[in-house]
Amino acid sequence: MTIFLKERLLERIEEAALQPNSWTLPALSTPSHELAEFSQQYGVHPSFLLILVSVGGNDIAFWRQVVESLPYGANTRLLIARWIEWLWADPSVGLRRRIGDPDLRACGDSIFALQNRAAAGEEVSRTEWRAARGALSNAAAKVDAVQAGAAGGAAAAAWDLESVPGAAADMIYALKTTLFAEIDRDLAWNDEKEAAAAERSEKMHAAGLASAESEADQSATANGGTVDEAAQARMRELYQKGTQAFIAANPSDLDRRGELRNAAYAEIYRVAREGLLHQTSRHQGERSLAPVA
Amino acid sequence: MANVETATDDTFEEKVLKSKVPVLVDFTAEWCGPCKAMAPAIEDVAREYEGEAAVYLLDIDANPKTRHDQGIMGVPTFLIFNGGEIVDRFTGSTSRSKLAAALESAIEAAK
Repeated sequence: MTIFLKERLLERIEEAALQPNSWTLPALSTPSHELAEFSQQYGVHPSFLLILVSVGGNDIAFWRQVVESLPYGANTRLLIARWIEWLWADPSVGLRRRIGDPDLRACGDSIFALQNRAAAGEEVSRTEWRAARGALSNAAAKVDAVQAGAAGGAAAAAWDLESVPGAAADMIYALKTTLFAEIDRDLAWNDEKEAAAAERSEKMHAAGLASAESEADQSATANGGTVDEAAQARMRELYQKGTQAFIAANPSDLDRRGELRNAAYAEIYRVAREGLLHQTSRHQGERSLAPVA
Repeated sequence: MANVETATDDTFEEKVLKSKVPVLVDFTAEWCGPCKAMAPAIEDVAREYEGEAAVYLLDIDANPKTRHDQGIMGVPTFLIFNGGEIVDRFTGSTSRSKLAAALESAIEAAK
């Protein structure tokens, strides 16, 4: 990324800050050809843009922080190769540490070795990628859900980022799968609890609807059958109150899964964001990084 | 979805059931957000297996016969066919690596 392109991207971010919800910055729903155009326009690798979109969302401050921390001449393709390796191998947050099976670990490691070769500019054939994915898939079939989920991170990364730039962003999905599998293991979640939780969820929903119903009726009566915007806002509030009242009157350990999943989501974004900033700051001043062509 | 062709009620038999190579069909809909989120992965899979397997999109609203015949209850649904038979089925969002692994198995089986 050149000085010129970095400044232009920062200008675009400031433009987005002035017009929230304007689609000035790309989002996950942006068509892939538009993402490709955006990455070309600003000189960032598509894999980098996809990670930024995935973990940044519409958080302008985070976009600004990441782009400001990019050193001039940064190779964002190499940066993402390092990010995915970090998310795999970091001793405190990496997916690899959740895998006890030595064969599965070795299969995962071999995929990141291919990524390193590709990032160094060496050609890795389709056959090599497929063989690595196949070996990983076979090894993952023999382990528990947590280890298989963590291996999913290696499976997500088992593609050439030049032809499949979204592969890196898929590691976030693998991290989610792994953390959710850990929650289910720790709660001894089973089909019986799943059915009970579904039944409880229906009752909560019914309590919320009952709470909001009178407001809907009043608004419809006052407005000739339609519910106005203000009434809809009050209905949402009453719905929340109804479900909270149900939970307070019927406490259950079944709600713990949802609480832990919400906490896991927060952890996923924290880890992925910190990792990206860690990689960009690590590259500051690295003169060995080749400029993007 | 520039590089992914579509199948319809009229072409499903010819393109999918009579295909000489394994086929991945992505049953999708205009209004389906998760389908759009999966679009880049489907493009990647189509590109990766070009010549070895076929990948098609099928809009369930525009093609109700195929939706009914194949028992599609929701979108996205991904079916993998080999020799006209369903060999794998995924309902809901899934990872490109899972789709790839299933398609690679079908390609190996077809050899």
